[in-house]
Amino acid sequence: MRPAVLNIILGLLMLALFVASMAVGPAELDISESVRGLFAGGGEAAGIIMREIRLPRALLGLGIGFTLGISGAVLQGFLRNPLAEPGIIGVSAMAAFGAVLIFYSGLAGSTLYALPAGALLGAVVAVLLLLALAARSGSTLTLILAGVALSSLSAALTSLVLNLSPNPFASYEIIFWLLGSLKDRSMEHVWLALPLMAAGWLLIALSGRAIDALSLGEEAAASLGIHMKRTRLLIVMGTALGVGAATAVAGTIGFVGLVVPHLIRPLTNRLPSRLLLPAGLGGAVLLLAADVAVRLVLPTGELNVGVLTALIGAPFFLWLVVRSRREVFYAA
Amino acid sequence: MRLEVENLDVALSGRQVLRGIAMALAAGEVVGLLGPNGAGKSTLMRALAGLVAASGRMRLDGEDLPSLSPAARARLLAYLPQARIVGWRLSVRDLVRLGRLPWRRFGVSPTEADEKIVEDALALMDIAGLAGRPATELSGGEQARVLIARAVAQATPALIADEPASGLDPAHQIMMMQALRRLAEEGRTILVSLHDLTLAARWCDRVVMLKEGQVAAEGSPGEVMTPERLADIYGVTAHFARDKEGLILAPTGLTIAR
Amino acid sequence: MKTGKRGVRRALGKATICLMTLALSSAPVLAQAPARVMSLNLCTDQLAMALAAPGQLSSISFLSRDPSLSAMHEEAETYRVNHGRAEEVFLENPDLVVTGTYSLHNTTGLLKRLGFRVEEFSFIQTVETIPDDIRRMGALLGQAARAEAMAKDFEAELSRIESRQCGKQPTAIAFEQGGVAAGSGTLADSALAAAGFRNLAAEAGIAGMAPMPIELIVPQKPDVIITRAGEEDQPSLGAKVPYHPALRALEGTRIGPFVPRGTWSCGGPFTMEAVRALASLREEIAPCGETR
Repeated sequence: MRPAVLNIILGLLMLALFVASMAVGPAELDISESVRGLFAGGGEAAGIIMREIRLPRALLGLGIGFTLGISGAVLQGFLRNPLAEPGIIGVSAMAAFGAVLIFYSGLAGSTLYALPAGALLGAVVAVLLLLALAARSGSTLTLILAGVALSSLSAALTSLVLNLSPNPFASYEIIFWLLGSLKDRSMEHVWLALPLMAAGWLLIALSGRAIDALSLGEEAAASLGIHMKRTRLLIVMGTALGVGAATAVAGTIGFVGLVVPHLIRPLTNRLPSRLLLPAGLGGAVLLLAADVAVRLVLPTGELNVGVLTALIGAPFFLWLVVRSRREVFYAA
Repeated sequence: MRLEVENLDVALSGRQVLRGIAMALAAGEVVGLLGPNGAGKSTLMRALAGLVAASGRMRLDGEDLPSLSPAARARLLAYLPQARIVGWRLSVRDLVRLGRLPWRRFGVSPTEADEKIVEDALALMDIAGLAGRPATELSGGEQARVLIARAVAQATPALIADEPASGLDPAHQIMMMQALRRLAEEGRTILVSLHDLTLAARWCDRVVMLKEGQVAAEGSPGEVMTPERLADIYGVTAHFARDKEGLILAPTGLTIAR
Repeated sequence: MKTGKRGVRRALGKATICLMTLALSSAPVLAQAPARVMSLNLCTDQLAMALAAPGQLSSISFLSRDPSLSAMHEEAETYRVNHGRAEEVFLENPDLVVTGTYSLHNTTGLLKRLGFRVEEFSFIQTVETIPDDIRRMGALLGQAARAEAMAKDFEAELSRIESRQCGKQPTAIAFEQGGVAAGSGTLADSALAAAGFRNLAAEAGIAGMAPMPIELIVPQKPDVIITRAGEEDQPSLGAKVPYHPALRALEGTRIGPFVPRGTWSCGGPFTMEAVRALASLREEIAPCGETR
């Protein structure tokens, strides 16, 4: 499929789901009320609901989904492994731990800014650790194993911090951090996270040529003029910024970065740089769809969105492992 | 372009792999790099490609190679690694087109000129018919030709290839050497490492023989590839023959000293 | 109607207490006040501290020292604390253990099997059950007279406050920890009702403590949103829920910790402070126009 066509189709799908996300919620608003509420000013209930509750939720679903999709695509291109994604290499988990550490300990007061500050700190530490490891070994396997270890360690530390926090009820919030949710997010969260995520997208886009060259392996890529150190920095900072910001406001949402690039790759010519934009759009589509579903599937209340992405993603991951002859990087 | 190496030393993991390497390649030459496994051929090529740290001097047309940025070096010197990696089920044409990366500005699509160079490279390596197929579905030998085509498409004055002929069938081995000769006639400087002694003898203008990290011999095939040399460097006995094209060398057995 | 229902309930409650006291007093072993009492539960701590004789209360739960949870956190500093564990009870060897029905039921079962006397208080408390709980704790501790006086004071002030209600009833929602709303059957709900508020969470069908979607709160434009006091140095995501921009955008809605901290985490004599605070808030928002 031609890239422009693919991107337009995904873009339209994304817009449709964005609108659908705005139309779903416990308050039953008909279409005219919703539209009027969205664009009118003032203190009308419909307007407040649309502008302060549903709009931020839809924007975050779009932005976070895009971030997770594009981060998964760039990591798979860089690590030359179709099983890589930000959750697996431990960036999401460390970001959650960082956010929890800074916020619940009261070190930064209880301002909302503590969250992305902590999350970025956690993501950067994860990244530095992984860079140090990659410099020593260079092997993809080592990187992924380190990520698995980092994820487990971070989850344990997150539970520990929540248990020890001054607020006796903080440990109940672990569900949010481990399974993610977009419930009742506000425009404050949007302004907090979206600029950081956009910066991440930019850095990732700049690494496009490098990940194409890496299709030939690291040595050939270096001989084609790719600065391996600079590329590593771009990719790692790009994913840290994006995934860190996303985790800070929505908790850990997994598997989007794994499933989406894999589904979309056969529709492209498989050049890693060509996959970046459609994977981002596809990620937005997936997350918006999941976020709509979690609000519809229960009669009252809603599921954590990470539950749904895990329900889709984990079996998919198993299927990938079993059918490992498909979509491998290198067929010997 | 003239490729000059002086006093090149490379140490890896504390072990001295190359010692005092010196050689000079002129434009329009195909130079064969020979030597047993572990002699340091790949390391020498990696050093020229800037992939391992080396002390000593490496100059291309007078320019000091290590001081060039990777992008600038990529326009002067194409490197074909020994390991054959083709990723992601990319099509043959897309893979070969990757060779144009050093010449393309960021975000700009390949131009008509780029496409022409890619087509020429495909034709040169006799894979034009495979252009649309996923490279991962091809045989090992076909994949090897795809990767050479990528290096050819890079259109650099110098081309360094690490054992490009291994795994190719006899016809395609000869076609590959013919292609390299043609590139040399266009003015490129070619350094190719080979294990097939006959190929080296018949197709290279000069050969450089490495033994244990040092240059053991250097000169035209006729001068250098003597039975004594072969016994000394490879530890083999060989049957020598000649036809009007050149030498024919067939290793026949191991020397008694082994 | 309300008075009638409560009156019947109170009567029933009193009857039960009488029967219980008869039953208990017929057993000679339990006639004397227990010399050592251990309280394992935040709410039983409060009642025990209010009624126990000096030296009678051997230890209370550590949660009572948390100012955001315990109205009597200062008194709690003067007592030893326990963490509700069976070994601690075993070592202290009290004559009576008081705890809640919901907390640590494994521990409770174990203690009973070990032969300790364990009295459990229901975790479902309302302003109506508080006097009965006070009386029961008094009976258990051998402080029946003090308990009776305390309970009577509570009942008297409660009926005074209730009688000051008029037709105007402002609407309210009370948020507890974790961003959940207090629905029907909770202590907060009964306090709101006593002070003359309509609890929107209860009216929306929420029973107990459960999350209430903000989208359902916005159209109702509550007059008051009550948050948990004392959470400034205890950050949590749940604490931010009442301050969501969508709620802040509602004109005429007051958001704040209007109830003194710890006064309605548990039911006790101090809960009257909560009802008082709510009553004066109600008079501010929707004055009845009658003088006291």
